[in-house]
Amino acid sequence: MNPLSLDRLTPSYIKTFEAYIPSKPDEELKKIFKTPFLYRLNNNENPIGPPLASQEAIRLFSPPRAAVYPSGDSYYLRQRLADKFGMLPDQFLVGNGANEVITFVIKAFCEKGDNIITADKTFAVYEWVAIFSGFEARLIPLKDFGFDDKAMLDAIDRNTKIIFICNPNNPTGTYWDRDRVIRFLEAVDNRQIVVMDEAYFEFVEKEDYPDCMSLIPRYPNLVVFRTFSKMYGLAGLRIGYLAGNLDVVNTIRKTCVVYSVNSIAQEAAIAAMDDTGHIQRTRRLVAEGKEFLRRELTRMGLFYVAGEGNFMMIKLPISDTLAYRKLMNHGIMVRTMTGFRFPGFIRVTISELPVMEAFIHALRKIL
Amino acid sequence: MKKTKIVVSIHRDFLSVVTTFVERSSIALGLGQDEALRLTLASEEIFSYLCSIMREDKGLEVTCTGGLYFVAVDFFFGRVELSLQAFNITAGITSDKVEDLEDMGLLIAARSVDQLSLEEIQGGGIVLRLIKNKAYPSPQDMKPPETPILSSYSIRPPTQDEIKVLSSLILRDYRDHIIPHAFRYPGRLIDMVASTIYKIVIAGDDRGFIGGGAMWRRMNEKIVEFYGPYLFNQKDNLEMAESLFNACLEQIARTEIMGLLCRFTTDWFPRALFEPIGTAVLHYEKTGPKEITWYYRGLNEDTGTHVHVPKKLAGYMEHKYRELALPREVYITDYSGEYMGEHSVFASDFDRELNQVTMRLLWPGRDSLENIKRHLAVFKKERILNTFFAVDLGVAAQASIVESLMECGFEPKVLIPYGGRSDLVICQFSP
Repeated sequence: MNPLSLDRLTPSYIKTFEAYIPSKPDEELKKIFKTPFLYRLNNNENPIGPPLASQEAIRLFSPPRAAVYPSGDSYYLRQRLADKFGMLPDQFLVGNGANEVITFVIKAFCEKGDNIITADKTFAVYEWVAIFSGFEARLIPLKDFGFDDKAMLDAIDRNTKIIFICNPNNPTGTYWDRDRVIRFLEAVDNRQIVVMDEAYFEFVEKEDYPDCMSLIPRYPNLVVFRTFSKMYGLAGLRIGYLAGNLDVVNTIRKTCVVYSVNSIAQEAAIAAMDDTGHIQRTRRLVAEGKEFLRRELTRMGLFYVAGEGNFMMIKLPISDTLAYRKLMNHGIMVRTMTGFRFPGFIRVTISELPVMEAFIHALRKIL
Repeated sequence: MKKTKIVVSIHRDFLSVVTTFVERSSIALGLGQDEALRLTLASEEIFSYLCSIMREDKGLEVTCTGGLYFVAVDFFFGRVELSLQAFNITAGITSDKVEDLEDMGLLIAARSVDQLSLEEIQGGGIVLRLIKNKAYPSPQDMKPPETPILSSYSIRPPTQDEIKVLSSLILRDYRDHIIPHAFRYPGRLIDMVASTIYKIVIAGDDRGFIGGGAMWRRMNEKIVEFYGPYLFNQKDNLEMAESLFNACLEQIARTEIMGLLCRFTTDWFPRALFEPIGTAVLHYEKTGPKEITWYYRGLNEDTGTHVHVPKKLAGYMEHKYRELALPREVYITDYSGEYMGEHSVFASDFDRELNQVTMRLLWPGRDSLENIKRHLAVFKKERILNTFFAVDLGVAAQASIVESLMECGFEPKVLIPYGGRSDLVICQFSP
């Protein structure tokens, strides 16, 4: 038998790509860092959990139904989304988290030699999927912590297929207002697909923050991402979706892996959309938590970036990776920002006040 | 990189084939006559030595690889072909017969080249590598322009001309600092940047002035070494220094690199963003001993690993792990009388530029104490001023060497997280 020639089989762009290693399970981390408890402030999860209606849907799921395949294209959820946004069900594609729909879009539009454009300091998955699929990711530096529209337009060439904008941006919380989004879409002029990733849409209360779903009829190249992981607290079930012009979505559908979204996730997501009180409760919690952190961080003399979304970025006088280890010893898990190209910063998920107090207490101890 | 290769039987009849191959290849790959001759002499010593210790019916693969700034000669062996003991740089002598050193083939080879190293290769086998750097002219009396204080600048990679200016600025303003040899030779630095060995960023303005620069290079698969930041007449422009440092971090942050190491700092080095991981005293003929603190910065969220800590190092490691808040599952290990072969084998990586040698354990053996002593005697004779032994805590078998090391005068000085398969302890010989 011939020895396996992995070197010959593996494309060069995979050889040079480094696999993302997710964090270990909480119980393992507690053992490793010798802490009896662990506050997860690293993944922007909703501490309230899913809406009550979703929790009830999860409870009502009959275990024998696990033997039956889910709806392959999230049929009822897409009906519900169509009702909510006044569009057709086929204008939606549901994926196993928003990460999966990023892959759908890139695979649908990019071929050898093509590139995508996004920011250098934003959600990393656009860049990763492009690179491990063999495409160039053009990373435009943020300007004043926000996406730089002019520089992104200047970076476009004939091989640019998709422009990804995280709005509001994770991790800075900056956003483009409605006028700026429209100016950008006009300038792109349908030459590229423009993805507006609105993973944190439901957290934003600013009046000038755009609802890009409403712009889809006017801009056929606009694709909008939303997720049930953040505001709706369904991160553990992995469910997100995209919406766009019917022809565009039908093209993306060709690369869509059907049956990837499980039944419980679909039913919990449908139930979540009816619970408006959940959003108000979460927004109140985030507002209180941010106000507390702003006050305490100012007292400590620490620079922070507190934009939209359920997170804040804090600059520390020590290495963020050292801060991570020391905070873990106090049972606090934050996200280091070196990987987001913000060395020296940590990102903290806004949680209940007692947890925020515990975080500040631990931060004071380690600095 | 360009490469040439031959396969020869290990027999003295083929000595001229090997030497002619290496000489012609070296010149074709860009070495000057003098360097090519030295590399050829070293290869001749190696091949002669191999002929004296190996079975002649075995084929030996010899390759010459040309980088822009060096030529490497690799001798590839299968694991089963000989006793590895023969690859100790001290093979054939005893510690009380240092006068025999002149006859040592491997040692003569090591003297003629810039680096000699021995590595195990994946899938079995050993590669013995000789590296000879191209000779570069010393910088002319280039007087770099006086840099004004830059009110605005951008952080970017330099052009070739800017690398020359940067080199001359470093030589002018950082005369008293320890800087890598390559920084002193603009041509070599340019070639090393083109070979992606060094990465450089500068802080430059629209008029062409360079206010600062920083460099970095890979130390191994997981660690990058950082140099600088170097500022030129920029007073206390900490923002520029931080921007140069951040440019390095931003480039390596989403890669497989796990940590950033810095040994040779400047006044502008952002110490607060690093963790001191130990201090070693480096000896230099010109400047005398200098205490050097090594700094480290992880790039990822460290969620722990397991380490095999020799009993003799348990106290040191416990202190270091607590100090650095590193989550580690520690297995205290010690030699428990299990079977061990007679001969130990060490790899000795020479760095002539820094006048130092770093040993690593390739194969444990019952003679480790004597073997260390033999090596120390050789290094003394060779006037090597800085002798280190790197112990990989990810490999349980490495624990067996520690007791002998400490008996010979080595002390643990630095802990590099993930510097080996797991953490790496750098022990320094203090006579």
